[in-house]
Amino acid sequence: MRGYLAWDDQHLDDGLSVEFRYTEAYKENTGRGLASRELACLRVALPAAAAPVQDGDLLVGRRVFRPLGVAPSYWDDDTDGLDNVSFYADIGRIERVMNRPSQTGESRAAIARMIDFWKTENVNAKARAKFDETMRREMPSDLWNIDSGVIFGLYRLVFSQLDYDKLVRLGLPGLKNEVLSRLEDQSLDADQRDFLSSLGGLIDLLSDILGQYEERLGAMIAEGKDPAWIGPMLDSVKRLRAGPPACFRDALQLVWFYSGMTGGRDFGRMDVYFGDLYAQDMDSGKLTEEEAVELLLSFYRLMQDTDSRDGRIVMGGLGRRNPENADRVSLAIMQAGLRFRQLKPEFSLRMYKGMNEEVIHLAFRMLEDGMTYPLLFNDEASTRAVENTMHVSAEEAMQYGFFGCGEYVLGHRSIGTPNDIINLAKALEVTLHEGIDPIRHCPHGLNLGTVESFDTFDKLLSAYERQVEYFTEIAARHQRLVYDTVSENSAMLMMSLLMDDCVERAKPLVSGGVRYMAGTYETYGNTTVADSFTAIREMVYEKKLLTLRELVDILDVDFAGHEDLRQKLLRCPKFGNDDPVADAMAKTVNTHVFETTARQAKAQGLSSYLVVMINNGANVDLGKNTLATADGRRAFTFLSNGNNPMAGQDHKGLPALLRSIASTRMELTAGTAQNLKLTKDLFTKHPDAVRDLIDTAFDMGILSLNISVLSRVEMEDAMIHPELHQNLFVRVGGFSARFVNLDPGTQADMLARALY
Amino acid sequence: MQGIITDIIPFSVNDGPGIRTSVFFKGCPLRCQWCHNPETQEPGPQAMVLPSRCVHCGACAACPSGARGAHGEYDSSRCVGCGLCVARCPMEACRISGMAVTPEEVLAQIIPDRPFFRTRGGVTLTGGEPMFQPEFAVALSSLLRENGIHVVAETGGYAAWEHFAEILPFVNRFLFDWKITDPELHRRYTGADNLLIRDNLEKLCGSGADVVLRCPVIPGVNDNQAHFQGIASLTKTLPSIRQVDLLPYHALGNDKRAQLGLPGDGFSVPEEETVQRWREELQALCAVPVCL
Repeated sequence: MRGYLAWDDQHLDDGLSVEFRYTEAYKENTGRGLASRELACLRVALPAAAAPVQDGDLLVGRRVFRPLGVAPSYWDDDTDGLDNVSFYADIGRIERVMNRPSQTGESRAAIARMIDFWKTENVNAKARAKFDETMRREMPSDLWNIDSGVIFGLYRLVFSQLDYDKLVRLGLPGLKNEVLSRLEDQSLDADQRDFLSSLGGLIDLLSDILGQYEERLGAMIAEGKDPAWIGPMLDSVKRLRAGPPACFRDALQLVWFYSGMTGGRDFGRMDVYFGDLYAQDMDSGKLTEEEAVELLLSFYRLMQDTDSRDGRIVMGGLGRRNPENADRVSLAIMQAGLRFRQLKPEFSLRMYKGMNEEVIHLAFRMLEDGMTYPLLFNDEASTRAVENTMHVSAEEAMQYGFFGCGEYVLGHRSIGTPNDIINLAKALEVTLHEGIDPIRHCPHGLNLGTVESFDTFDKLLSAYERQVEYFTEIAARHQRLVYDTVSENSAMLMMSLLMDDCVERAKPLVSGGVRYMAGTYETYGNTTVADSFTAIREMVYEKKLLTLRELVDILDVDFAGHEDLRQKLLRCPKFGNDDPVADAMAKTVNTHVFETTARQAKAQGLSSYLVVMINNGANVDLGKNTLATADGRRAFTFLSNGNNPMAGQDHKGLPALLRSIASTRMELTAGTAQNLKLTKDLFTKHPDAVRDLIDTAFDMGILSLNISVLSRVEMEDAMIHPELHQNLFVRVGGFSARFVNLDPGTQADMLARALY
Repeated sequence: MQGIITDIIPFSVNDGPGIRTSVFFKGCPLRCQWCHNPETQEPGPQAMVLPSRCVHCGACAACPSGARGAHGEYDSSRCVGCGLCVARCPMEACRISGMAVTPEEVLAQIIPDRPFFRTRGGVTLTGGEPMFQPEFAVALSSLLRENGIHVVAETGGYAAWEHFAEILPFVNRFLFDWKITDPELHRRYTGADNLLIRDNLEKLCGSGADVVLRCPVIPGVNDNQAHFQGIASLTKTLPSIRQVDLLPYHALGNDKRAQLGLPGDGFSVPEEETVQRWREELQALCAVPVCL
């Protein structure tokens, strides 16, 4: 998806004057302190990234991303869509400017020289340059969405939740005072002094950029723009340069501005840091609910125009400062969401026993509206899981947040960016092909023997497990290598200022600053592999209907001439139906990769390294380079995603599905996404049943639920492909039928009923 | 003791409060022409054949009771449910509807679903006609209640009163069908008049039972003022009726009729606007909520 204002090439002048100045600043300051060099670059980059106020904006700080900069993650869908970390260089975008017809030979040559410089100087390239031979062999490409491979590396520091509560409490001047008082410590070494004084400089820079806005807003009033619109923005900017936020509007303004300048995308416990000022303004009559919603809508619009992914807002949960205030602002946050009705923000609700019913009611209304948000979290179970897997106290665990598709992080205390992904089905595939990737026809992974040598099922399973262990060790080293490369090149000043311990320790984020330096590992195809093993064990080793060699040969040709075998494989037990055989296999496969991953933390000096089972579209892209699998899946089609059954393979109803899901040891991960597709009918006619369903799922230990109410488009797809929607029972009073026992025409008819 | 059921379906949300597991009893004394569970009418096990899977190979033709033809033809009236065709079908197109179970076996199947019942849900006995197997229905209801499970019974009301009297203490709510008010029309479309049914309804209400009246509305059969007035009159004279459920005809039962080798029922599905109009008309007449 494209069209986000922040990335438009039209922001870039032919001369790329900002980029040339930025490159000069970088070169001139290389060899001085890392933090100083970064600050010098930010002094060029950030003022140029602060875009003018547009009609309808109620907050300043519209963000533009330029092709050179420092960010936790930068990506450009027009280049390759891949993440870039720290000092990034979007070469593709600079080339697009260079190739404009308006350029001269001379200007092109100058830009080409800049490109040559940044090709090796950007942090992604520097990380890749540090690959050892094994990493080069097993991670030859970063294009996980295009190329074939078992593992892929990502380069980013995403999803850290900055301490926006501290920002709101102290404001920029308060943060500056904190840094200055820390600088009085005479025992600091030169690097520490460089870091802290650069943080001080950064705060001044941010204040100066607000000053720029102050001037622009003043000029807008002078030009005749409506003072009722501009005036409050101008007053807010003035207040924020002088002190901490005094009202709800100030808090929104400051948080948006800071996050926009950081390029950070996750907002953490927004109900906590906005709650008190919201309640204060509402109680004093300074703010109406409508005004609050309008301000939030402006905040959401800026997010929408700035970013094409993420933007998670956390609400609810235990461990909040003033829960009543937080709940009050949560209602406004969701009301604005109901009005906004866009892909963003990603609302999330931590649900706990005894929580405010009005908040739950509004959350359900959003879901009923088909928004797929909020993502619901089982607060008590999540706290316990975080405590155990991240080895922190219960009190710290209570401050968990989550990002992206629901991966846990400790709010402003940990980083846990998922920087590696594994296609487990591909790991099985290369194991069955003697360490050869049958798509690329080159060595990939370990050669653990011929298929004939796997004369027992246990030998096959062990070989697969060794293969996964081999790749996971490489992935963990990659995670560490990215952190190290970032540390060697930047201080990540914007993040470091608002992450716990960095100022106190006088150390940048990934150079010993952050309290918990963790990592996460995205796994895909977990259920595909588990169901494949269930089928292989039954068909090859128990019933002996064919040999493993025969099966692999048939998978290699995508079942050509063997549709009957495919049907038999499809009828083998599948995860998602409360089947003890299929669920036990899923538990074996999942627990293995969970524990293998967790073991890597110590070796790589990470506070934790954990699997996340998430539900983005990577299962589709990775499936495009995966041959047919023994669960009956056709070649190059999607893999299973998150901790979910394969689409269409769960047909025993919701209770059975949830029992299967609950059998996965989710508490060993840093988050698992559970998708639940429900019909609108269920929400509108049976809200009590929906509530009972969610409460029961959470009682069963399921950590989170991503509930989507089927949209019209999805319902139409379901009517065309009912085989993919076997668990989507449309309820009709007194009607006895299992979806699976009806003809496709009737299945489509049942689905059609839910459109009304 | 054993009963015969066709299925146990979890997460039923339209057959009583909360999340429920429905137990479908096999066998019914009525023959409603629009029946959407036709496989539950005959009391014994029967084969069902999914036409989309049948390749007419004839593997099932050697049927000892002569229910199966050489090319997939099927006459369910001759089927004795022996299951030979199921074993022989290479396409898994055949299955047997109807299994003998004890109340304890039903309970064992339901127990895993119990967490979902929470404070509202439970088990619904439906069918078919639960009261067609009164001893089994009573035994199952009492066992469920002993285990703290909320019990709803859906009934067509056509059974001896003594059976209702017996099950009454174990049922939290009845979903009582009221199909056609005119006794003669009732006989024409269901095979029996409604005098016994009305009598049982009045007695149940007189005993203080919690009753929801379930009214299937079939275009051309009972979508008329006289019947709507009849329903309304019941709600006014029998205060135990807490709600009327309007069940507009749907054609989903025809899929199962085809699986039983029966022709379609020939009724037509009402438009959504018609259904809404029925609800409004009925609500204007009734003393209790009318729900869809």
